[in-house]
Amino acid sequence: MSFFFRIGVNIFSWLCTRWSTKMESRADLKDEDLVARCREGDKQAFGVLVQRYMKKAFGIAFDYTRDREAAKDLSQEAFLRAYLQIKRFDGRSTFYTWFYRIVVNLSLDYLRRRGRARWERFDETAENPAERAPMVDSSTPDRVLMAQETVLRVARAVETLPTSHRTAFLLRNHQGLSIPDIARVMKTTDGTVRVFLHRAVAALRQTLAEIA
Amino acid sequence: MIRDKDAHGSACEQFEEKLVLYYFGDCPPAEQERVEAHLKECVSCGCFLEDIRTMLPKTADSTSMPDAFWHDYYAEVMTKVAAVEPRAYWWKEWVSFLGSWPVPAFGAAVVIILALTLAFTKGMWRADDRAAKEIIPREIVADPGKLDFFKTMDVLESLEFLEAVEGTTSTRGRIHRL
Ligand SMILES: [Zn+2]
Repeated sequence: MSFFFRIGVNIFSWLCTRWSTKMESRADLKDEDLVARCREGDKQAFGVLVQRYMKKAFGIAFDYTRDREAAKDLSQEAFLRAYLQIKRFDGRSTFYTWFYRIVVNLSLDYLRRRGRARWERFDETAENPAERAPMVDSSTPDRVLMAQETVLRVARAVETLPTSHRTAFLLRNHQGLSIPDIARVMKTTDGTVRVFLHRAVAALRQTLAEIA
Repeated sequence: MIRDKDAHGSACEQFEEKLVLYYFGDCPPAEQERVEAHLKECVSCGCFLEDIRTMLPKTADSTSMPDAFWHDYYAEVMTKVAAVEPRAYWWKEWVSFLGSWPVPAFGAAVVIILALTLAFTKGMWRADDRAAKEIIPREIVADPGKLDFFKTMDVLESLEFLEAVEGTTSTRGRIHRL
């Protein structure tokens, strides 16, 4: 009887070891290996990709929408779409540029559908600094108002940019993507991204200088 | 080439784009040296660079969310993913989990256990004649004429029958076919 018990314990410990090694090894895998596993239906491999890119995806969606709930919904929707379309991902680009393109497209579509209502919502929520500008310096009430006002004006100035200029600017300035990566997300050339970036910065400088 | 400081004026046309790339750290080394040399002698370009150094960080207010938010976020995504996951893949997970050699070993063990079970319980697996008898609901047995309705359960096809059963013969309560 004890012989069978020992065999049972050994099998159980082997299963546990194998399971934990598998979990660790997934976290160490490169994106392309995780994608390959996702294609075979490995849900946990996709979980690692979610862990890896959820903050970035949320950040990109928030840059466009300036709304936490919308950013959460859109970025989660992007993950779901990525999971459903993972077999269509041809591997010619990196996973994250392919995925960021989905996030950007969903965010732009969201803004297009909302149209003018977005600005109404923007002004409405901006009345609550904690809701709209979590990183604003709040040492004094006057500073809160001034910082809030600045954030609002700056955000508005960014929103007035043409979509392509704005996308290049947000991905470079806010998300720190390299120019080649932005080119892959936007499916254009590095040179075009440089032009978009230059025009966006020049326009912003002009607008913000007029405000100051 | 030295210019007067023009507040928020333009930078030199041929340098403005380079200054933007310089700010983002996207200038190649050779270009970077040229920009730095130009900045030493051009006030307008210096002002332009100073302006964007002051203004651009203000445009990027980050959103720092608490750990609990990310925990919930991850759980929600994985719940949604689980809901759309093709069911046919569950066995692949097990195959990859178990590896290569335990699978045939497990299969062999199952076959041996089945063989032994069948060998020692021979004669106990006779078909039960009583199970062959079909149990018919009492209401159907009572009126074999109703069988047609119970076979199809199609309400639109059986409106007249249902009216007759419920005794709705008055014209007021009559259900018209569409
Ligand atoms: Zn100059």
